[in-house]
Amino acid sequence: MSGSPIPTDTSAHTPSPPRSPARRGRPRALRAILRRPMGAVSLAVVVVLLLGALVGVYLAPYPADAMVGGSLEPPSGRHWMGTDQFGRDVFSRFLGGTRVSIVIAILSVAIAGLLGATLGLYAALWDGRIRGGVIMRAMDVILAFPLLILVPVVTALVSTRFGSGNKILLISFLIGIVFTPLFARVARASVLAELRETYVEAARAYGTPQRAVLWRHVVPNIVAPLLVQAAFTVAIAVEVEAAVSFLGLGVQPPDASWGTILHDARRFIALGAWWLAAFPCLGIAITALSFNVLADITRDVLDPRSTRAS
Amino acid sequence: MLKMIGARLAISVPVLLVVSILSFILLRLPPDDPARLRVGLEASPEAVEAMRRQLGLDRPVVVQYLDWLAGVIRGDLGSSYASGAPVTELIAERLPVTAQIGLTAIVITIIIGIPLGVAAAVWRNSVIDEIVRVISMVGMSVPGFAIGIGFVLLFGWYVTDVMPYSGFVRFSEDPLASVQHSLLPAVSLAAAPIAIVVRMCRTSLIEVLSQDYILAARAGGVGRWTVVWIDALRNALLPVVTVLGVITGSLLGGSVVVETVFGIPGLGSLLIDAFDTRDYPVVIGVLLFAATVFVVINIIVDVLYGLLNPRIRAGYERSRA
Repeated sequence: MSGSPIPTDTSAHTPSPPRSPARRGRPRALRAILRRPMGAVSLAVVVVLLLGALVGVYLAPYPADAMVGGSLEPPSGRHWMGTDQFGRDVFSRFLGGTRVSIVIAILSVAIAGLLGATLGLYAALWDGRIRGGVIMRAMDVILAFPLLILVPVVTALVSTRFGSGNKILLISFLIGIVFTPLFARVARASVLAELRETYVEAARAYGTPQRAVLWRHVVPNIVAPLLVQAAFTVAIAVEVEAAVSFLGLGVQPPDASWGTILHDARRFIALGAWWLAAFPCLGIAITALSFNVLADITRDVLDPRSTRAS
Repeated sequence: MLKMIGARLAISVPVLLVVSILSFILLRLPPDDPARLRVGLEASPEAVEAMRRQLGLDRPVVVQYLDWLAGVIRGDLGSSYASGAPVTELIAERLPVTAQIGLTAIVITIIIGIPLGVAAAVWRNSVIDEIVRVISMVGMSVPGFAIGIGFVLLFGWYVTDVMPYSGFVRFSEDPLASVQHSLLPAVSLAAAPIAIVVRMCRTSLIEVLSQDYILAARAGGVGRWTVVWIDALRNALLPVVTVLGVITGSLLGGSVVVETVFGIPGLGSLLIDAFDTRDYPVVIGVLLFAATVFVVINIIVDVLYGLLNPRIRAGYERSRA
């Protein structure tokens, strides 16, 4: 796969442009991540979390909303994470919360990534033109709102306006919009850098249409930085959703995320009900930590210049 | 330099305008009616209508917005639906509380973050570097409110009467108690900033330490730590200052949650309370205030960066010319 031979006489036949240097080595990156102990551990934790989000609710010993024990019982063999003030099983609620928290985090980052990457791509193509400027200024407007103010206010606003509906989708969408500028900036910078590369110029010189240049050469090369950004952003998204739900402005009953469990428990924490606080906080922290570590290591692996030794 | 400040201000005014328009439109989407909330569900349509007129909600949205905007230009953010007090007064009353906690958080960030970053850079790839790396990774991943909840549990249940874990005392009333009350919230708020500053400081110092003039200073007989603290750090702190500025701008958002955890009557709880009672002038006022602070701090950071780094300044002026 050393690329097509460069034709000496371009006028004679249809030129076959050189291949993009990007696509080789993707599996190698995964192997490099797994070779590092922390990389393997964080990837394993991420997989467990994703599995937990998928099938965790089916493993719950009790219905999440039923009174199945006494009020505020500490963890025991019957209730692994104790019970809350209504006598609900915290472990069952925790498993449900895992699904809601992880789904919102992943969904919002997917929305932000797709939206941001597209906008960033166009902003780069329209660089120096008014259209490109408008896109990036719109991103500035979103960034001018402090994150933890924008999400709760807009979530609460829109959900009071448009009734019940599916809050989980709505919150994912809003957090997604808030994170869009992060991806738009990364995408724009990567595309601009890529467009200046010699192989892109070469492809253009061969007469490759713009669309083909983008899809075949530019896009594969901006996937890596976007994936790193996505992993970092999942960590932030979990925290933001938890914060918003903790304020009582995010996920609403009957749905419950880790943040909602903390919101319900907030008055009983100073009364010594440590199990109500500890498990959801651990869930949030472990999720954020594993995605942060994974992103960090992936960045190191993909970019030899950013290694720790400097 | 003046040109640069002017250019940044020129960009930020439209940004703030769009922010205000968006908040205004979002807040006035049907069907939730602040007037009905004031007079109660049982009230007659006439009473609701009268309340709407009283609150100025019967006019077209555009008129309401322009009226409000004209007030903003005069420094008037309108009055609270709930208490009738001017929004500017409400913000001014709560601001010192939030500012004190934010300032304490910044001080804690600097006191802890920079020495840790320096240690990690000086002993890079050693055990110390690894430990600092783990600390900053954890600090980045555990949200501030979770740390706050941990504090409430610790000092509210296990180690009572050592640290106040709830409420606030104003600095003007009792400085010592005030500092005590702001300590736990500030530490919760500072966790993520410390992690960011540590990393920034480490990367930047490693780069500076590898430069020739540092080697020359060492060769000339300047002591190791003198070089690190006096010669290298001055240049290494440049990006750290930038990052500290960005952090300062975002503290307001974090303090909304932390204030709720500790039951502190600051700007954050003003926003949340106003939101619960649909007190829209207060909500918009606080939002606009937060966005303005954020934008202004970012401009200050840019200017500071330009002042500290002549290369940027020169580059900027060339590109403008």
